[in-house]
Amino acid sequence: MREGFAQKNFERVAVAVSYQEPDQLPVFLNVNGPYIASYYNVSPYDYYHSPELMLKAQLAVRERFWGLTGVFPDMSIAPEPSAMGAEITWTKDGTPWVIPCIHSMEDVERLEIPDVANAGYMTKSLETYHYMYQQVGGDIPVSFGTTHSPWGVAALMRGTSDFMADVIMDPELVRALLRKTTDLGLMWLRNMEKSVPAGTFKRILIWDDLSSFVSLDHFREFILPVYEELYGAFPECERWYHNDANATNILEGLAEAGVKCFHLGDEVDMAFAKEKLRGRVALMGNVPPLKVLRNGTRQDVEASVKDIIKKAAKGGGLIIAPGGYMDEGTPDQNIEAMIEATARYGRY
Amino acid sequence: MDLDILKQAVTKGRFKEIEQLTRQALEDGSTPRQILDQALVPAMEMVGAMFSAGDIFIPEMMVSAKVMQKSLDVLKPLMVGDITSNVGRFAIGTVKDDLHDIGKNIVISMMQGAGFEVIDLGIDCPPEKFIQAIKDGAQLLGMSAILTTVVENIRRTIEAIKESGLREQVKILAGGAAVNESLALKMGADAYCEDAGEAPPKAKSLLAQLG
Repeated sequence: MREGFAQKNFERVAVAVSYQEPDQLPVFLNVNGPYIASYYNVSPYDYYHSPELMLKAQLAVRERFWGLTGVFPDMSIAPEPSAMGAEITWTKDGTPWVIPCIHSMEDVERLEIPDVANAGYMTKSLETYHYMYQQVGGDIPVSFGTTHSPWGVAALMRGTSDFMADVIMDPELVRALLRKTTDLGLMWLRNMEKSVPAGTFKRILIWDDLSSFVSLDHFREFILPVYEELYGAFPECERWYHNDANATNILEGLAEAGVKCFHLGDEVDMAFAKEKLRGRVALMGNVPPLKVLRNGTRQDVEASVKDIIKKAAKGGGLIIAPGGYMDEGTPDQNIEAMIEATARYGRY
Repeated sequence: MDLDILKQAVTKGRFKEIEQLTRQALEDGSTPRQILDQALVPAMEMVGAMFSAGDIFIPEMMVSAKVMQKSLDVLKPLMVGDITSNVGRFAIGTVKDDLHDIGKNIVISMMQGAGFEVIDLGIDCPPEKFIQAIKDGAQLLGMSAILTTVVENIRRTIEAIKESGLREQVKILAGGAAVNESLALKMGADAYCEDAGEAPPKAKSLLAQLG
């Protein structure tokens, strides 16, 4: 099906991110471990721990959906915290989790930026990239450029509940920990940049579902400066951002951080986000991944896509996508319905 | 001392002052029960409402919870034997294979603030842990699931409780990003909570049904 569709779609994504109107709305299929592993009928643990299996599973999804999904080292939140010495636990059927290991300022001071050759899942992630590139790199681009630093990694290593209280009760600890995780994020991105072919490191995705847990004032005080530092260290890269929690409160902050493309969740009202970010930040989303894409009908998916188009297509800067990552067990026909509805109703 | 001062200390997150203020209120003649009912409970209700309205965010809520907890630490030893000191006994955990604890922790704060005795079962709880909590006297259970990959474990846990013969002794609330009202009820819960602020009133209403 659809010879050349993926390439054309890719070009339309670029147009949308530059806040222009392409001939046709693009679509983006955000998939990661839980969905891909379930699609390929393997356990998430096996998927995350075998580069070979990970690649096979990602290629299967890519083939099924006409080349619209990518190939990428996928170790969820594990690389950066594990590089700093945090223990990672893996549930039998689930995704990785970080055991909080920062209990005091002394713990923060003890953190050291590791050698990337000996940095837990960060090292494994690099190895997986090289494996994937060796296997398919000539034919399929292998994406590399996602970081969970600095805020998300700091929260996971401290424990989210305590970290949130620290914002008010111990801001010095928050700043000290962010200093370390920002340096870690910089080191991680520089190593990713070194790994990919010269001239192809063009996009940085900060993945941070926890940044909107705080007020806009706290976002500006703690998070904005470290985002600017991280993005700013790679001036040639496009600034992409993922947060599928309710990020309504920090929309203005994302524009201030110079984000070019925001992958947002379905709790954010698309019309409000469009109004707030018009001409500044392209929006990627926000078909509800659970209620509509996984549990709804084709008609529900179509209605959701039409609603998003009505609210946010005018003037460009829109990419239709799940409002988060595709849930495990999402029916193929609903994903097809999203792609088809975008094509049918998304003509400019 | 006007108990509104204590109430404000909780809503404004005045952690350093709360212990002294609580002791002052006791010295001035307020009973622990009055402090709980007229200051701490309404303060946390107000915090929950402000959070639901988007006027405050998680850091402010977590600090208010810590302030309230510090006040409770002063009051609890004085309330031993006060049979009305707890509204009810509530046990909460994330279901098996779910390790996200912040929502659970916020619900704990809200429930403690509303006067419930709370048993924190922690994260990644197998059904046996919930069953043991019922045996230990929990009248209400809270189950949360953030991950859609594990949401079925709410159903499995409730099924295991039924098989243990204890289902009639307990009311079950479910919540978390992977859950919605129809799913929660379909899986056998008695109520669904959209956010932490909904937990105390729904829990109180379920408790009344238990008799």
